[in-house]
Amino acid sequence: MSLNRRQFIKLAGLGMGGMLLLPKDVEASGGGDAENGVAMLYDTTLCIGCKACQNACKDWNENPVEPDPTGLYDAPLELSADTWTIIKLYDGDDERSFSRLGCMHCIDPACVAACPVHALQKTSEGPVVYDANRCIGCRYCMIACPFSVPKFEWEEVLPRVSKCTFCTGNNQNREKDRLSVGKGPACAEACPTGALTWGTRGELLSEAERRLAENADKYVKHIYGKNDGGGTSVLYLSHVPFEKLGLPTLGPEPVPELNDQLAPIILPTLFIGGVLVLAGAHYLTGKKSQEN
Amino acid sequence: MTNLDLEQSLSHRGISRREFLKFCTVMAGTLALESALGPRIARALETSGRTPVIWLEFQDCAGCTESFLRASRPTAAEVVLDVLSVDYHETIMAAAGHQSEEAKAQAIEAGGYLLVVEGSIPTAEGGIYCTIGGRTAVDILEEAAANALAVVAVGNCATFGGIPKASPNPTEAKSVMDLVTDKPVLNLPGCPLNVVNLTATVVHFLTFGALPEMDDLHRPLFAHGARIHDNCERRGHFDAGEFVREWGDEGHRKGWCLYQMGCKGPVTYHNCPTVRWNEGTNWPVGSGHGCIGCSEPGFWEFGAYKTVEIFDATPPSTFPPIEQPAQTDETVSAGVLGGVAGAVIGAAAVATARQLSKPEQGEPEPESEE
Amino acid sequence: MTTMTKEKRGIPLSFYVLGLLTVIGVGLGIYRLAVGLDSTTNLSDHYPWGLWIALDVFLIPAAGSAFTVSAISHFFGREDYHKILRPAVLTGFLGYMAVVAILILDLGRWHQFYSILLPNRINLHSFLEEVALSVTLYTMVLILELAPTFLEKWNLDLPIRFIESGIMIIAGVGVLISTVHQSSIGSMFVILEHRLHPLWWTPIIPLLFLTQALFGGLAAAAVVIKLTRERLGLPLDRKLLSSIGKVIRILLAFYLICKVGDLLLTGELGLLFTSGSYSLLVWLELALGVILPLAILFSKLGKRADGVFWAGVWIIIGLFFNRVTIGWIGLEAPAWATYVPHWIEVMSSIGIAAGAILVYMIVTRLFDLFPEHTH
Repeated sequence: MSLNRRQFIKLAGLGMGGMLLLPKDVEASGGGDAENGVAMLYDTTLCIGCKACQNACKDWNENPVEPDPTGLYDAPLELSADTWTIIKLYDGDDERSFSRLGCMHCIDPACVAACPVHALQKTSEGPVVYDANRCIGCRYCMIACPFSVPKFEWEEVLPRVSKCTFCTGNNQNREKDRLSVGKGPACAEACPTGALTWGTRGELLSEAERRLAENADKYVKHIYGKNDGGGTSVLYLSHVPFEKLGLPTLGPEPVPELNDQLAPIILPTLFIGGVLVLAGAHYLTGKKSQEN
Repeated sequence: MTNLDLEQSLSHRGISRREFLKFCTVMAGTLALESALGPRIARALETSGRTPVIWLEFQDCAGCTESFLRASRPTAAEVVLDVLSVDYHETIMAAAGHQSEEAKAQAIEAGGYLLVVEGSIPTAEGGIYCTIGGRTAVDILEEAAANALAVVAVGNCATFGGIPKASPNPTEAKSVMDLVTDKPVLNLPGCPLNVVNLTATVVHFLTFGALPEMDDLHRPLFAHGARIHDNCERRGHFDAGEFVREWGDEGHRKGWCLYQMGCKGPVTYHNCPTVRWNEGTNWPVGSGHGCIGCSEPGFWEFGAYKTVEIFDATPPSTFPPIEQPAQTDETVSAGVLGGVAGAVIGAAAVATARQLSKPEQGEPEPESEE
Repeated sequence: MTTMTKEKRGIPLSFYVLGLLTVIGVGLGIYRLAVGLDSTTNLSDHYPWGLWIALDVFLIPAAGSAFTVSAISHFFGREDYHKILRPAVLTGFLGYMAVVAILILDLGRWHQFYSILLPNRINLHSFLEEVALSVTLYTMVLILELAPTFLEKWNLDLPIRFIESGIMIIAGVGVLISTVHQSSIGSMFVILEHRLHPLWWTPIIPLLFLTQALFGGLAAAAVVIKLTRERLGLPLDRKLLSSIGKVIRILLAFYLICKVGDLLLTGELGLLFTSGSYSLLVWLELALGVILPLAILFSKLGKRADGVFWAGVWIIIGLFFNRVTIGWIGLEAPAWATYVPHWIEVMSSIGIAAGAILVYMIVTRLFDLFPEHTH
């Protein structure tokens, strides 16, 4: 069956048309502002491990307590669908530190780039929010996140992805939204020592720089989250190396960078390349059979 | 006092020998000693002569004396103090005026006494802000301390200067250990002190002939070796992040941790959660108010409702580690999967080798297809 | 419309066995949809992807027989490939059906699967979206390509002619869409640089996956066709199979050069020896799945039909190891977490595979997969 000219043009047109389906400048991240977005600063030198943050988060979001594997009450060992922030302990030979972990609300989140249906979105206010009405439960976000933050409601028949919402109620649940009524996240407001504070990212970065400058020997000289992984909204100051706190070592490029560079290139390349190869092959082999 | 005397005295007041021995065991516990030492303590108490005590009061409120007098249960404690001969105590002695001063002078001359000091000592302007019988507290202390077997400072004022020392400290109040430097001073701070600790100290002294082991603030370790925070019955609430945020809120009614209400437990070394007050009835945290840190130097400047900075947190083992310890029971399933994979590969390898080593089977293909 | 004479056979035992496995598998699948993932899988927060995703990542290239044979026969002027078009497309179609079935089992919120089709929801930066969308579209294309096989049983000439008049467009679209998702399933792993072991992660992973789909698809085609023709008692067409073998060996060589070259250029060649059990895995997949078939196909054995067949089998084995590693074993998880597939995960997968094989066998019996042999 050979392809006549009309059919060839139709096919080529489809190929080109396919490319029009590609949005020109898709913003995988919603343009969250790195300066003015809301953020949190966690300072290990001030943290006393009281878990007021962990408890306040559970309380506000009505997440049930989780026992540890031996049955100890209210002692989760990891983040989970019911535990959106957790205090862990690093107990080294000569040093000790608490570590508060939870969603980093990255500037250019991997989970947002990965999600096939934009169920996870970066808002312009800063927080990364989740829409269960779109989610297909593929769990790509869980694998993509370098901090392994998003967790899953495995026991549910139709499980949702579950993580810190920065007390926005995911912009759907008004009752659980603190930010839009001017209150800070429950965790930061519960902290008795000021180890966890919130504000705009710019303000907190300045504050962190100030602390580093004034107490140079108290801290590791780095603000984790300023540029790591393209920058996060949850910033860390620490008196021990950051990897001891369970934070991965990331370069300054956002995790989705290569993915986002590849996406608009690879599809047109494959379409055009494919059309050219098929059309070319068809033409050449058609000529050959004509010659025979 | 002999064996017979103490026993008689005890039975007089309706205290059986069993109760007395129980008391000695409790004392051993309070001193953080093995309970097996109870009988030794009993023997010491029975056989010691009545050790004389001189109790001086300077810039005090007599609160420590009141605490001392509250030792009414176990009744045996009061009796044990019959083992001591309190030769001078301004608040409780029968004598007054010159008579009392005379008694003190004689006791000092005789020597071999325990000197207990209550209240701080003002040193401003030659010490005139506290004078008794025309002599300054500074002089009285110096004289009494000279011949004493041991010096015990009771209450925060005597141990660390207490309220009188609070800024601006107009009388230049000082603690006993600031002024008595040539012999060991045992500090029993608290505002007031807990008399159980005084009783235990005395028992220790009578049993072993020495003051109990002290920390670097001269406080006995058995009473001040651990923080309130580490023995508090509400510690579980602290660890779970359950805090009282307002007086009378739900957490307060449930007995949650008072850290955010200013409890100084994390920086206070005292045995209140264990021995409690008023014969073990209760203690401040138990009744719903945070510890004010009264056994610590300068507690009056802590700020009663300011949260205290916690240094060198000693977390319990219930904190999750950054990385859980690795398990190795995956080897069985890995073995099974590996075995299955190996079997498949093996079977395919055998079949491949078999078939390809033989000449090709089946009819040769007709060459007609182009 | 006589088909070639076949003896009237009863239903063979294999049908019953496959049928039973299918029923069990489907039953378990429905059960899993009804009760959720917790009691039917061993997936967890620390191993969110497991057997099912790994199988999908393997089955997609294995089902590439459709687009490869379709491209060669329609566009590369190889009329001789026309003979094997129907079984190749059927294999591909059933492979994709298996992929979709397994995927539905894996998706936690499968009831919102349609999200991947809604223009206001789709994220075209997400390669998983590319895969999902193109697999869905491609399945429709395959149905069209397959339709004549079924329609001719009932002599429905009009639709058959309609489809066949547009077959170049249909096939062309199918090849393009396939190319997109075969490489996109590799591109999916680009964002997972921090998770996928460096022996497998590379920015050229889309190219590697596409190449694997090309030779893997042809290998699957060769294997299935050889088995089918033997089963039907048809001659094996050694020339055609050996021609397929020639295409495969070029692609295999290209793949090997790219893979090893990439490791060399990124300075990761040493990992081939220093990564413990991962080294073993990569050697296994390269030795069994690439080097061994290359050896067979470049030797005299490559001219034999059974030579190409066995080369194909080894390619599929190697591809299985490769994709299961990339989709599961090679993805980093906390050292203390464990995952072994739940028996329901395994049985439902076996059931779906059995179902695909059973349908293939039934279609082979009831419909004409090799019309060139009927005149």
